[in-house]
Amino acid sequence: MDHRRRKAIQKCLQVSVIAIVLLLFLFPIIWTFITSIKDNVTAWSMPPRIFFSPSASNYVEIFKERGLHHNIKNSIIVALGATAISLVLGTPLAYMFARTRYRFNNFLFIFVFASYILPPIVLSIPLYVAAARVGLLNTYLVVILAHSSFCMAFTVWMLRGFFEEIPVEIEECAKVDGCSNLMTLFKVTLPIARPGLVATVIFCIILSWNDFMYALVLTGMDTRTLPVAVGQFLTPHGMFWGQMCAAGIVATAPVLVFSLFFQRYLIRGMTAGAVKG
Amino acid sequence: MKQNNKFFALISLPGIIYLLSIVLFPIIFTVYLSFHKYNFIETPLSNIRWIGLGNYITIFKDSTFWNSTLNTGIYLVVGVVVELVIGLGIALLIFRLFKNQNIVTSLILLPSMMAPIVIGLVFRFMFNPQFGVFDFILSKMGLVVANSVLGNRSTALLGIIFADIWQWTPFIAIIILSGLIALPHEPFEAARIDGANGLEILTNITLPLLRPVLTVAILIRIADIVREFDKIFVMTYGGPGAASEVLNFTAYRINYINFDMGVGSAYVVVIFAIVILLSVAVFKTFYVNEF
Repeated sequence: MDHRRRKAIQKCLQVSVIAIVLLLFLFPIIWTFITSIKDNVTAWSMPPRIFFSPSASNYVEIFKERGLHHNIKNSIIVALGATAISLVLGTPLAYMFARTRYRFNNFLFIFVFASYILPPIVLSIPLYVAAARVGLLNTYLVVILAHSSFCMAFTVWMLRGFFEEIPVEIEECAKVDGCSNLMTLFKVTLPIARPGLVATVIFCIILSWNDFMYALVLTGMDTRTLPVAVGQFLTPHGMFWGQMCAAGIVATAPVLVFSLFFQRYLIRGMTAGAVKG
Repeated sequence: MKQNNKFFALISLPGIIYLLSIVLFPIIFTVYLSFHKYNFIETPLSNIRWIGLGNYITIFKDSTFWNSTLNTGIYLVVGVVVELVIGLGIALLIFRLFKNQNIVTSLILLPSMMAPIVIGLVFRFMFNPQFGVFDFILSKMGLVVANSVLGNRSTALLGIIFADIWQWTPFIAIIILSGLIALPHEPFEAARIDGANGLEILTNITLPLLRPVLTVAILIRIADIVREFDKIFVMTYGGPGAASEVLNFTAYRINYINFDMGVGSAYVVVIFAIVILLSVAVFKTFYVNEF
């Protein structure tokens, strides 16, 4: 009896520690959300006010006065563009890595990994210089190209793992039944790998959605993406904290939704398939 | 078989060519620029002048570079070590309680999924001397930092590292957790029968078995920390003075504020070399050794 009691207490303790840890890591996000629904007067009171009547004024202002929906639109265009390129060109490459053992595979694979960990500033210089020369600065295209570099590397890494999990025998069966290589890929392999493809697409979009540096350097007034716009709430004339928090929440909301839906693939995605979660 | 080769060559060639042209050739161009005197605003690209290692010599003679290198080093060591230690603790705790991933793991991962720029702004807000909640807590604890944490030369970098630890510890924790879940049971049972205590099991069995997973975690963090830019940009802009400037930030300033792209390219080449060397070093020390 005593032993069971001790076990129960221990369990209780562990659960509360986890709860505290969870709270600590979510606190800044919760705090941002709370600030975003305070009006300007209650936001600045110290010690912080716990009870207040929520207001949506910050959210109205970031769309009405600051036109944040344009930035959201830009972010979506860039993310979809980069993801489309990565998927179309990266999927076959990943398939090749999963199914062949050529001598240059290792070398090529290290190159793909290097593209993934490449600091954005390295690539930003030649892209900036080249884009300025041909008049592509401040266009969607140049940011899409920039983002496609890491998105594509990510796609290849991630999808290779998914393809490798599909037994070759299934494909061989299809070939015996008269499917060509290409037909096998489209009719057999890709449908089986669909969950992996979906997870890859989601993570590519998030990677592009969160990027700040390429977007800061390569976009202008019309093509500014959401992170750059959020960064601009910081002005020499003062901070618009309430609006900034609201914009931060808007930028985080899709990521939150996706990460809850794609729980199963979170770890895999965040390590580009290097760790199977 | 021959037909297979042709098929794979055909489908993968476009991707290879694309990746080479968008990554490899630009890198070569950056290396080429780093050997030239080139200011983006003043010199047209056709008039750049070859100066050999001149830009690299400029960099290595500049105290800013060494200051930024030191800051990057502090950021790397403090960030990675603290994140690993706390992350391991959290992972072990979650593992004992749930044995598996669940809603807790995906909630706790949220900071690592968020845009770093948003996290930077949130932490700048929370460190604000007038209405930031951290400064409020610090002052209640009797800790007063002159000019607030981010405005003080000796604490600004720590403030940024604090935000980094907050953002990435959950990530490390969940990677370690997934490693723990995949571990075999036998060594643990054997150790328990032999009468090993918890600490002995942790240091002699768990950690060595987790080595591959830990390597991946460290590699990803190193690559991320060396290219850290967003949080610094919004939290301190490298200041006060250059107290929180890391290499990547200095490179940004030289390239896009001064437009001194010759020296800037050399900076960038040095940064990339550091990423590669560190990755290889970590890989060699942690991974290749047998368990």
